Amino acid sequence: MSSKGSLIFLLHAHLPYVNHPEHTDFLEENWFFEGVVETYIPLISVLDRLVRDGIRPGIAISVSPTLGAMLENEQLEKKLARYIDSRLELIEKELLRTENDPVLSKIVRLYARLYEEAAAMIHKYSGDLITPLKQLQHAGHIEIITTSATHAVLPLLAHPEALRAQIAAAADDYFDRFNIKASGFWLPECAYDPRVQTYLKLSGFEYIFTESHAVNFADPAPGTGVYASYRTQNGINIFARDADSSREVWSAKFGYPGDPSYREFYRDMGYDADYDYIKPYLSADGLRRSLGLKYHRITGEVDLSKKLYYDPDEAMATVERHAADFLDRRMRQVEELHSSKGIRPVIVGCYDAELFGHWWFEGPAFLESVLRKIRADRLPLQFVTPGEYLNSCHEPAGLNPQISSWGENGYFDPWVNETNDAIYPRVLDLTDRMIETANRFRSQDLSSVTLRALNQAAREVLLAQSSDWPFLMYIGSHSQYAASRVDGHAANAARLLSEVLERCVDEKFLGDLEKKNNLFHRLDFRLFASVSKF
Amino acid sequence: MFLMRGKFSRLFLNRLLIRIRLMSDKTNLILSTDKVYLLPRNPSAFFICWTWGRSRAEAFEAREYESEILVRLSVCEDKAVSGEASVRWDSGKLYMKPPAEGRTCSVSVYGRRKDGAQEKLLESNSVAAPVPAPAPETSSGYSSAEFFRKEPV
Repeated sequence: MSSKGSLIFLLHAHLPYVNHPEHTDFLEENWFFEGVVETYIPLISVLDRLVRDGIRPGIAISVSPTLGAMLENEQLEKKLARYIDSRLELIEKELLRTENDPVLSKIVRLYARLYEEAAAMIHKYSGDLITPLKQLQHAGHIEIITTSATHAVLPLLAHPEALRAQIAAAADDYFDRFNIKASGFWLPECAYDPRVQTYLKLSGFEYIFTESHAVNFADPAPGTGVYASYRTQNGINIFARDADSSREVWSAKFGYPGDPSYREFYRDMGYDADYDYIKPYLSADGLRRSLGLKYHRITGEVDLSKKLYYDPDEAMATVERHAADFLDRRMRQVEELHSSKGIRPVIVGCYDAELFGHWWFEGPAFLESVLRKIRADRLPLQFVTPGEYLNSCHEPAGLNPQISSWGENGYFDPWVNETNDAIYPRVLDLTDRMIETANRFRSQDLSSVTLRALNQAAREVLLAQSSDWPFLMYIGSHSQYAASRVDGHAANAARLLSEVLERCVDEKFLGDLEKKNNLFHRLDFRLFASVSKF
Repeated sequence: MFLMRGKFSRLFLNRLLIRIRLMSDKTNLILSTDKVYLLPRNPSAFFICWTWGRSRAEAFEAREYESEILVRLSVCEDKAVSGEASVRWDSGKLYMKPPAEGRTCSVSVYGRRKDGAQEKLLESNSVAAPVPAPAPETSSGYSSAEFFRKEPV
């Protein structure tokens, strides 16, 4: 049956760069461990299983440069192995504790499989999870794209030099990691302003994704809405997120993840179990925190203490039902667009990868079920990667998207408000100093130490610009850590720039920073030099 | 002599205070340079923040300028003034309503000298005001760092 429409499924995988080699145990590094075990490995397993069964996934994955750097970091790999071993030890105890309780032991066995699968995959790839992703892309099963260097919200970078540095560093980083040139670029937080076009083009990117109102309210608004790709004046292709398919997957309130049979995220053994029993598995501060072992289902709108036990079989039956419903809705959407507008639409679903598995425990199974059903039911729908779609579609119409993001209210409120706006003078002033210093030294013959110091200062500036810090301050979660990261990177960069100017670089300080904030290995500080001086 | 020593002491004290502020840097206000930045927040608000270099901060501290500065938001195309606000020089930030949608704006900051003369001190980058458009429901309350929200909403 010929295809009546295309589906583009993009998973955006991102974590801020958190690497504290000076500590054996650091709370915020758990974000990475949880992401690997609960999201990245389950997703890679889904893709591997599909390929093994002759089903080409045809999805796109954005791997942020910061996440990529952590996935390649040997010290984090060692800590990850310890984290998994520790959880497996706890699970072993739990298997013994629950052996006479068939309901609970069934759930514990589920976690045993999850963590054993994680351990096996890490062993298989010697800790480097970029390898399986690279292999999947090389074989043409998926398309991997990138995002700005440290996930900066690009419209909030006042300096064009900073825009260019965030985009160009990401392009270089992608090439070094995946050995090919990146064609797709995920705008962090879907945040678009027209200035990004120039620098995306300069770095060789071919397409981006925007929120739907960027396209629906463009001037003039296109008749085909978000169901076609478009092209900006300088030739960057645009895909816009489809609100309907996003809401079904994304929303805990209206979407599939809120189903009562699915696993409850907030009820965790770390808060439920006897303190002495779980103490060896808590962080060094001994405070109760999530351990990732969650035995309850959402149940309904009841207090956390009243949640019922999770039933994996019932949850999997719901997954099948939701996958069928998702495809049924897409078919109806395609049929309606076909008949009303006479188009062969492209429906673009963009989601945070961490939604799948970490938040929505059944998310990877849902994805697998959707991809299997589309093939088994011979639906006239086709999963395509963005690059494939662009190669096969007609010449896209021209469009000037509106300034927008996918954040609260559709603009930049979560990243600029009274809870976090104090960081901006500091970050912007620092960026100014970086630009001035880059201009001053860009044509000089530099000693090795000076060059290293300038490049490290550039890394620190990029890290200070990450969208994660203001957002954490906004939601009040790990806000002190977030503020300390901005302050720390700003202070590091300021000190390095001063030392370069005073010709007295402290090599011990520089060396320590290079070990700790060791991403963008071939970053050149000259990326921050003024655009007009290039 | 006593007066001179007193004046000298005040100057010394002022400079010392400024240095202490530079070192603690808690207010973010006195940084390396005199700069004002304009950022888009949404169709109803621009965010404006400014920093002062040491010498300008010392000039304000020494009351060479009045303590209130004038922040003026203008449309770049025709220089039409779309909003003004008088704020303390060391308040450091301000939200202002943009003019009509889609217009590109910039901000100028003026100080008034003791003799009454107004002096343009800072000029910002230019930013286009976002156009109001109803964002889809899925845009509400979610962003990439949602991964870290560890408490029930």
